[in-house]
Amino acid sequence: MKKSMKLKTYLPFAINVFQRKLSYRADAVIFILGEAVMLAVTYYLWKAVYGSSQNSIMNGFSLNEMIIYILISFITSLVISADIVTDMYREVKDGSIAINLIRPISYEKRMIFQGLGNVMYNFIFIFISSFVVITILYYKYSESLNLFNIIFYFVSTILGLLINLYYRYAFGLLSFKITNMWGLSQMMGAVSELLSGTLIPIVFFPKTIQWIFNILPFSSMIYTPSMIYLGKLTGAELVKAIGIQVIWLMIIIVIARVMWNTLIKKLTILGG
Amino acid sequence: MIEVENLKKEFRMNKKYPGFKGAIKSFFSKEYTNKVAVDGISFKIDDGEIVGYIGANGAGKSTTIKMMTGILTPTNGKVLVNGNIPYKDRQDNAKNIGVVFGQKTQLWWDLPLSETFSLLKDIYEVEEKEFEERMKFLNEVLDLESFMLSPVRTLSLGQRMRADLAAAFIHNPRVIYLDEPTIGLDVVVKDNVRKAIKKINEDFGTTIILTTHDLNDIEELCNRIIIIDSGKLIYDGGLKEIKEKYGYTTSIEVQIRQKINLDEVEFIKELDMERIKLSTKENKLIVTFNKNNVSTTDIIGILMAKFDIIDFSVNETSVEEIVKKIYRNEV
Repeated sequence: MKKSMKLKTYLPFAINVFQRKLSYRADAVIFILGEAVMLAVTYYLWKAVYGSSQNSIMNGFSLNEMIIYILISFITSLVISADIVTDMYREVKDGSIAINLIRPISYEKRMIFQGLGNVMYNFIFIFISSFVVITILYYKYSESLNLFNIIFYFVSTILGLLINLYYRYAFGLLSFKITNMWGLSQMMGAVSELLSGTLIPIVFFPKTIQWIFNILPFSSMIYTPSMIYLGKLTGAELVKAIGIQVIWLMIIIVIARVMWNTLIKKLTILGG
Repeated sequence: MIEVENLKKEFRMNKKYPGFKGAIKSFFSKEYTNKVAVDGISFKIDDGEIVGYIGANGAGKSTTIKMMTGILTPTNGKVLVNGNIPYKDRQDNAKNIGVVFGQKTQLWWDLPLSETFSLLKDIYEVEEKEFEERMKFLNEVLDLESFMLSPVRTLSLGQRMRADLAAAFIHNPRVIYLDEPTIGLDVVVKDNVRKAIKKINEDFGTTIILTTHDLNDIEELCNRIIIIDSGKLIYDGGLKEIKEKYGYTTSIEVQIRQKINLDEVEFIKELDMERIKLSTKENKLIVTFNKNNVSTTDIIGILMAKFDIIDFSVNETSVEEIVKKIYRNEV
């Protein structure tokens, strides 16, 4: 009962963001076109790399698998990304955060739900159809489909999504202290893109760097679910990878709470 | 009941230097300047009071309000609102307060106004029956019906302010903070808003704390005012007392047929040697005096005997005048 009340309180924030996204359709189309170009560039790049190499398998990836990796990591990163950092620093900058703090609601939950609104939009309008297409493609390449992997892919993606949202939320909290966050948030985007394995699968990096990347939370967001989808993580490795995700999620939530407690005291409400 | 004790807020700011060179210098410098926005304020507000909280721009009004609502943490001192420490139990405190920031809206910008109310109903967990009753009441006093279904972004400022006031009251809070609720409104809407505030206070016994620059708001609504200046409390008391204390000076402006010199009217001063001030301009004479010592008729009487008076007017000191003086440190 209590839980459902809570959901009723916070769900409007998710729906509000969903509706807002829905009303900016042109923006969504342009965004997808831009991303598609990036995707095409990556595809041809890897095709060239494989074409010029003697081996048809690099670091355990055949060209077909690589293509699937690019596609699946691409839509995974798309579905879990929600730009709550911008929402947060904009609110601090124009002072409208005051309005949200006078309500009896948790700022953390509100921001997470706003993020989920974004995710909901991407899931419905981009993810479902692309996922079906990619899976058909994958089936055509490998002529088998492992339902087990797909289920764990979703489990892992949900964990990755939560890690990503809390990570961004914690990052956004910095705007309580640093008023202009635009540059920093751009930098954060670039770093997490590299470290999360969206650009290049982490197995392509040198061993020591791989080890570091695997320990950082970024690989838990996109790389882990994508590798699970491709069936490259099974058995003990799979359990370990999901375990790392759960641990990271807990660590990041704790960090975010500590940051909140410290930074809320430093918040200066601007304007008026 | 609200208790504020020795409240202090300091903002630390990176020291800024002028010019481009200065910008670079301040980027690397670790020098800070402390700005004390609120400096050791104490007061107590009982349930059901309407208190005017006034001060010049930058005096620290909004900062105090923000600390009382729990969105700013004080550097020192304490605030208790109905037994809660607002900046520690922000969410608990928020259930019992309503806030209107005149310069910011709390309505959902892209949604129809009615949506805002149903969202707030869920957020504050208001019972259906209570919600309907209160909506009816608010509709009556604030006349929201005609724009209930329009998206908030299309509302006029007056409509928006009325809606904001309603939104702050939807959960029947014990305390409402109104930070400049009449800013930018026309006379008619101002009047409506004031009436609504008064009615809410009378019908529900809501404590109201009001900051404003429009002292007519204060005169019509409050029986108590707190004046602060540069973060310090300089007056806390009734509106009547302040008028008696500071509002003793009255001035009469007299138009005389011929041109007049100061020494010709010097004799008026004999009525009250110390307190009477005179000034002349062409054929106009302004006499400023203390009403407790001399009456207006005395002065007019002796002037009539000597001069040919065309017209005269009496100006009582308004609260506005008093406050102006207080801001300028004249009293």
